[in-house]
Amino acid sequence: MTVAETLLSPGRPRDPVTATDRRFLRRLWRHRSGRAGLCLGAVLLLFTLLGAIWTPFEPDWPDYGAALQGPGWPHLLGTDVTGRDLLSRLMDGAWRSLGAALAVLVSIFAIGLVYGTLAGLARGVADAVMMRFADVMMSLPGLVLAFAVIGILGPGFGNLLIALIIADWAWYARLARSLALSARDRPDVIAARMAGVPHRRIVAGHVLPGIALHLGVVASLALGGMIGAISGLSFLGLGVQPPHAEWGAMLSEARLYFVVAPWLLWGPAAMILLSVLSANLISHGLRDVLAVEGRR
Amino acid sequence: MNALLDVQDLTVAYGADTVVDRVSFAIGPGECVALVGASGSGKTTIARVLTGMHDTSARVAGRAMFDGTDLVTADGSHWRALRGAGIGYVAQDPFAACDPLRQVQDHVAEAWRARGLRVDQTTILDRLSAVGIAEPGRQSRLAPHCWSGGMLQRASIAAASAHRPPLIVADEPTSALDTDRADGVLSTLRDSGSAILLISHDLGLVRRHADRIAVLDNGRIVETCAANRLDGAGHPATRALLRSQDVAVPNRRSPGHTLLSARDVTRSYGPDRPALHPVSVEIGKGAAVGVIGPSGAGKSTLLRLLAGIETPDSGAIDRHPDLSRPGAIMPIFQNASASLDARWPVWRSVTEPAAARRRLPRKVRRELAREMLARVGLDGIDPDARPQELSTGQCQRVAIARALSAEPLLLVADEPTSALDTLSRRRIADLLLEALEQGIGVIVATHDTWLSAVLGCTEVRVRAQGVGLTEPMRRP
Repeated sequence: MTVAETLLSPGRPRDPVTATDRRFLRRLWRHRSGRAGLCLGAVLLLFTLLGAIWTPFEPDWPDYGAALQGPGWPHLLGTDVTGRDLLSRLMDGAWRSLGAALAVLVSIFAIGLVYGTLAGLARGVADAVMMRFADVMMSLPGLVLAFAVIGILGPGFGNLLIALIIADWAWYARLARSLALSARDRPDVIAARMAGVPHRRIVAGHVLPGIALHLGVVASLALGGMIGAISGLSFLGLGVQPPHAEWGAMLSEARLYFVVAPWLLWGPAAMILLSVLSANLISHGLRDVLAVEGRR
Repeated sequence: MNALLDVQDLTVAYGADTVVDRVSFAIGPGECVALVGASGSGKTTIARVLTGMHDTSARVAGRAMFDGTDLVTADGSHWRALRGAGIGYVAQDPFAACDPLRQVQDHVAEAWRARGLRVDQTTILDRLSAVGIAEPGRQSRLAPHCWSGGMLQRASIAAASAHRPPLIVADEPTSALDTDRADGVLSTLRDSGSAILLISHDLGLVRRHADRIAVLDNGRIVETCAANRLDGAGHPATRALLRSQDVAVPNRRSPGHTLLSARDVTRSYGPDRPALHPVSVEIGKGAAVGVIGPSGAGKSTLLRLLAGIETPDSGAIDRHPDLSRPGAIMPIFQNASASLDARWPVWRSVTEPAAARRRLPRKVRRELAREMLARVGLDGIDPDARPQELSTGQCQRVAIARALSAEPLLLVADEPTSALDTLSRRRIADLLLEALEQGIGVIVATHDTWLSAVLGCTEVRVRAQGVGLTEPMRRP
């Protein structure tokens, strides 16, 4: 099953995800979109890992003699205006784009999960104070907040990631809190409480896994947006600083030459597209697998 | 035989799955034939085929002759002519069958309008009073939710019999009603004079109203007999259905020492929302208490107070010191599948209370789970199964196994059987009886008079607040 087939067959019946598949990942694997997303994700991961240890050419090394060459040999994807090899730059930039987006998402996922669950389970004054703070964070537009944080911390890749985390965590916290609130009155939680199961084990066993799965779906849907946000801020010059490669920054450079050298756009655009596609396919699968899991 | 409806070798299959297997029966004019069977025996599928409402993916074979038409091959125009005039239909849940935004009289008038006929108000009111609705003029202008389930089902019968169809198909018409009202509704149905195909899982009820009874098991008719000969029936499926109705009055054990007593407890959620008017309860070791009352009267609230999940606003609850141990009071919930963690295999849910007291290695827990599941008659199921792989009845038994693994002194059950068919209900009642034998106190909130009779409950009534127009409903 190719990705294209998956996308072009919206009318087909739901994949037969049977409840007898016990392992969560195995169920995701049996789901058609889930598997396509996982495969694509694995290829991207390999690409990223490979890029971290080896690239065909030195990615930041200009070679003015080879400037603006089209795709061919030895530069498979061509070269940019200073003669740098595009494939090497794509590979080198993968961890800055994809890895950074994942790092930001994992961070806000973890912060949101802990913060929201604590607030939801604590209730009362602690909940009110924690959530009002989260509301304040949510009331500020995300990108404006990110600009402000970068303005204070100064431009730079690390600061960009911190800015994005600060801009986005509160949404996850709010979702986690609402799920935690409803978990308190769930029959299985009440039964565990009455059986004398210690509080932390109820939270770890019944409450957190359900919330984490829900947040996971939301986070996987957000991966595309996050790559876009990092690329966008890099495009504006707030993230990765030249000469380092990053897909968004590469697009930004390419736009100046796209009439004479359109191949400069192809590589980074395709990589962003494939990453977003992979994340969306996985989240589509996650959603269906979760629906099989029942009501949470 | 001059049959009104003659069904020959009716077979219905979904894919490779044969749901109805070569079923044959006939209904004479004015006769009432009941199709009974446990959940999943194919009753509803037959009703669907005979009213032309079956799924288009179903493969139907055989013949069903009605008034010279083969219902199996009938097309849309045939059905438009037949429905209402030839075959009437009464649905299971009258509330679901009515548009909540329209008045009841609109629903009755629909029977005429659907055929392009005009109908005057007097006819509707006459029909409504004919099915035993008092003050039809005032009542029929109310919305369906203001009616009780029994009354609304009568109104649907008035609509279904509007054109005096020779045959009425009624699919579980009383499963949403308690026994008294079910009898009233079925009498109304018979009074309509039409032949009736009555679908039900409740043998006790249909034997009082039907002329003949056909018992379905796994899509086949395994036994057909006159309703008054039912006791002589020999097929195991029939016997199982019969047994599920028995009310063997339990030997009244003298209850042991008092476990819990509550005096005049009340609870409200906000100044205008009293959830529970003062009520007193006392329960001893090995005794059963039934909390009875209409929906919204505070039965569940009372149970939460007694279980200690909530504290009362006023009044006092004295618990025996033994009850302060964790797991001494265990809950059983109405929604059985939701009461188990959907991600957990059943062995983990069942042994959770035991593992709460002391750390147990996984192997021991699985062994213990096997033992507890055998105790509730589920030795056949895979301990690694997830709740969604089990039926609702099985989930409820798993929930009981979990409660028992806490070694409780008191079980607090909120409508434990309301979502179950009669066979599953019987099994749950047997398990609760066993718990009583072992000296466990049982408090059960229920609409189901059968359950409280079987358990030999001392009844505690909770009073309804406000204007309760709705009578107790036992949701199917």
